[in-house]
Amino acid sequence: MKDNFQIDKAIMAFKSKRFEECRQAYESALTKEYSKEAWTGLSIVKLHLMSENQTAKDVKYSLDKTVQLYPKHKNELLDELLLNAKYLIFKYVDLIAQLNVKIEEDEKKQAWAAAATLVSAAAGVSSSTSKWSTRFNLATGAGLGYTMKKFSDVDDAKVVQIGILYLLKDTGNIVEEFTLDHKLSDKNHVKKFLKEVKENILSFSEMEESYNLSLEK
Amino acid sequence: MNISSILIFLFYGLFTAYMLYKILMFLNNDEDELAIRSPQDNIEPLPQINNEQTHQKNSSKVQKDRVLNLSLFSRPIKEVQVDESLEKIKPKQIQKKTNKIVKKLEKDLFD
Repeated sequence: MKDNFQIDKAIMAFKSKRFEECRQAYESALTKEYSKEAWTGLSIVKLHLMSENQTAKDVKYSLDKTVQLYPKHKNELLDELLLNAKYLIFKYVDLIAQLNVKIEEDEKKQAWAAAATLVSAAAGVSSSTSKWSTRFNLATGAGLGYTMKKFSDVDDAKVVQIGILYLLKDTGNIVEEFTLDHKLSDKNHVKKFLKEVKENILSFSEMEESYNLSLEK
Repeated sequence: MNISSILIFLFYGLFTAYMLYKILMFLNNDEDELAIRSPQDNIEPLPQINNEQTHQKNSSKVQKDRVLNLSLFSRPIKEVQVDESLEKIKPKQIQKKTNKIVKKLEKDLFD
């Protein structure tokens, strides 16, 4: 690979969790010249941007294209994908748990406000939690890296929880499909990873059913 | 008994009756005033008035909030199920577990 500043710029942005800037830099690098590093990086950063503006199809296309262009590189790409997907899945599990704490707190506050018949106080509780972006920033310390743009207009924290659960499922599905399509699913660390993802999804399935909410995928 | 003594007797009789009437009226008024100042009358009606005024002033959003608050007290079966599942998730235990893994992976990825 020739020296390409855009790739260094993308790596710097990724390390600082400026994922959108990172994606743009990889795309600029690829516009100039195709490279293994740029395609791998783009696939991975798209995975991180699924909560913002990227879809599972974008990620899948980019991963497949990388394997198609650099077939010998697929094991390396798999390791990168597993590491990043694992990080994201635990991040999502953590967020769902944080939201649970917040929902319980809000419900308690609202119950107290209602019991005391303080109508204005009840309105205050509701408005302080009306925007998901505000809650997310509170929960993650200024929302560094992940602003969860897909849920910025959602008022109900339970809907956001289900949305994050779908992100978790999508991330698991991407890994599963990628390993099946490229005959990598027999590897032990892949099996272990997919088992872990399924356990996490199962632990939240009761929550999903009991909420009785639906969200467009 | 002459006429003057009969007149004096009548005068004192009427005067006493008038005084008794005044005393009774005074006592009645006092009871009314005490009743107005009783804490039951002072505290109970005020919240009712305030609530009515607040309801009139508030927008539909607040009315929606009130509906939500009411639903907390009369929960349908599905909402109870939500609470049961939340207990099963045990968020703080999950966070303890995930925090360690996320921090470790964060080092691998971003350091």
